[in-house]
Amino acid sequence: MNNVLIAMDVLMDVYSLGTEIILTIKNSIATGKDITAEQMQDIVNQRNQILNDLKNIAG
Amino acid sequence: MITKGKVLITVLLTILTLNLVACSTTSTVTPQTPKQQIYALNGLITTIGQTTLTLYQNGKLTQEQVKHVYEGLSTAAYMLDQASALYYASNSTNSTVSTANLLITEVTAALTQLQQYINTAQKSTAKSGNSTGGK
Repeated sequence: MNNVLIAMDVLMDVYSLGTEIILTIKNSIATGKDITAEQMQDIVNQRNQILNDLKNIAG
Repeated sequence: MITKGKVLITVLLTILTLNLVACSTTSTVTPQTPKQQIYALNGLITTIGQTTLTLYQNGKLTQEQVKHVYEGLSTAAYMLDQASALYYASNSTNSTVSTANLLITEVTAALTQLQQYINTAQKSTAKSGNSTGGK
């Protein structure tokens, strides 16, 4: 694949994940309600899923 | 006929627009509470992992490089989990000094593990640097 397209692919990943994280924190600050257990579990699950994928590649 | 260049320009403009919107709405966010900081760090690990995965899938990283990143990220994730557990224990109504001490021991063990990992990585980098220099 073209390097520019790969770079855009990476940018889109960072953008979508980053926006989700930043908006959650921003919302938490704005409302004064701390991160809920559900939100925390959700990001931890996403993290573990990615780490598991990397582990499978790493062998 | 739609050319590759036109598609590229369209996608780039879309990303630029999305980024402008994102920057205008999210640029000044700083995690304030410990939970927000834990959430942000978990998100950071996830984002780095996803980027690594994407680059590997597109043939830009080798399996060995992915392994290197995985080791670093999994150590960071482990330490973050221990730190989170310590935070939750210290804020729990059932917390005891012995529970906190146990968690501190675990965090110390994780720090030692990370130190060992960094030392190994540094030695590995130094060796590859020397071998490259020798050639």
